[in-house]
Amino acid sequence: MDVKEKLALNRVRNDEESHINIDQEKCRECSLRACLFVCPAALYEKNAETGEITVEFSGCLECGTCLIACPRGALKWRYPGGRFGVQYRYG
Amino acid sequence: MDQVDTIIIGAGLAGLACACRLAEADPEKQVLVLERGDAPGAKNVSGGRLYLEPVRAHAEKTAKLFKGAPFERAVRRETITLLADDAATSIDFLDEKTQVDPPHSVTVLRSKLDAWLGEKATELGAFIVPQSRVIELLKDGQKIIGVKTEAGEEIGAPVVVAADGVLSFMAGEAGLREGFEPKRYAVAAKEILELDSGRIEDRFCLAENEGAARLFAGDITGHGLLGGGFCYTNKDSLSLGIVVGIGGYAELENGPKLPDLFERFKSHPEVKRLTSGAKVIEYAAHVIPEAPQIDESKLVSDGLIVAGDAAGFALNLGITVRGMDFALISGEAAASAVIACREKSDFSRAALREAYVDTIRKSVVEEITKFSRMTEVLSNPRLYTDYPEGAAEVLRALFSVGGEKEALYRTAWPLIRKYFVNWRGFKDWWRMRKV
Repeated sequence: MDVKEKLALNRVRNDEESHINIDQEKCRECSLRACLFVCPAALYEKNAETGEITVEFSGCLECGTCLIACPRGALKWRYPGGRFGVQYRYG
Repeated sequence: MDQVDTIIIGAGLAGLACACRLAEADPEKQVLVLERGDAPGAKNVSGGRLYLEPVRAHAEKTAKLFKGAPFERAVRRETITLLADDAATSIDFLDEKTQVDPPHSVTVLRSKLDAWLGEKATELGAFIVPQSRVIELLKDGQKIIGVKTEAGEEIGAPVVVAADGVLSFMAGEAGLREGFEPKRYAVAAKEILELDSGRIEDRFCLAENEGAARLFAGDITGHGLLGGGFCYTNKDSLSLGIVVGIGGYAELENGPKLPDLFERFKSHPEVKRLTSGAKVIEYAAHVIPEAPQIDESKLVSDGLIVAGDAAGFALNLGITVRGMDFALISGEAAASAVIACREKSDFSRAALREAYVDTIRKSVVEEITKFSRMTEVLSNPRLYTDYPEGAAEVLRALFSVGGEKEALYRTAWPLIRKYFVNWRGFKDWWRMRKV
């Protein structure tokens, strides 16, 4: 089962504004790019043309793994606003 | 600025245990719980097993409240499985002596459990505000004097309890945690799989309402890194997940994607048989404190107490995984500390430390730190590669019939020597003696 299909099962209320912001300058200097594989929702992608990392914040499971794994401290990560984000029905 | 008697950040098990105890002790005092989710439990994820025995021993009042709580099943069957590539070796333990009423441990779904405990707290007089994210601690010098919410409200209190979970941005704000060290954390991903109760009981060999806890050791990451899998039986669903230490994993070059590791685990012949026909109904992830190290001086600040995951209270011993019990115990202890310090009108760091840390030293802090060498033991790649493969090879050789077979001893001994009884095995064993 594809992770996108799994994420589609979750109850989520999306904010318009991303709760994860990438400092591209710091990000560019990173060779590890752990965010590309550690995210349980696989939300990070590398733009094929620019090489920049992008994040699709709307499927975020709010675990914080990317924040912990990012070796450059390039992520500004906060919890989504009060009414937003994933709302677990089982947890 | 509005003023209340106590502010609790986070309606998880630590925050709610604290709220219940405070409201029950003195209904005149205002207890305000700020929760960022739609309701208590909406943001909370656990593997799914809660040990109640330590709660009964160290947080009596909370344990009493739990009568009638919506637990899933009382765990009676414990299974540890070593996963080799195409084989699984299990130690399966069914013990009629395991207490199920009241249960020694139970499986839980946090949305249900926390919502229920939230109702209890409300009945007792605590005030829970959902959809309310705290963005800042208000300070007067070093002293914490309140919080600021996203909506811009500033609320003051003589004492704040940070029960805001493993990432505890509030402990960070108070200077009690500096950054996040990857090796101190693990990431867990979990599916909830719907399966009717009859099939669960048949499949896991359980009597009615009994539960099974299955832990899997093996090369979850394909790189011999700290990791494992779990499967807990709920009433009519399974909690299936993997756990991977972030430290080693995040350092891999072009490492395997976590969702792929999940699918790989799920496609293992043993796991496949457990989950066949079950339908995925939710996918969750959570970070777990992994390092059994607690710095007592970082558990309180002037006007602030940290409890539960926020304080790093978790313990993974490979065969038992604890966290929720510590959350309940530390939550109740935080409340007792607030009550004791209120009598003296002294919420200073020193007063809180004495009232809080002294209470949980035996039941929580030392319970965790006595296993401080556990991470070292669990970082041994052989645990995830050689041992599961070795167990499978030995049993494969013993169970196979036909061909030119040597005597049993001569079949098994060379393999046992190859995998277990050798210098490296001796070193592993020596290391394990320390925990």
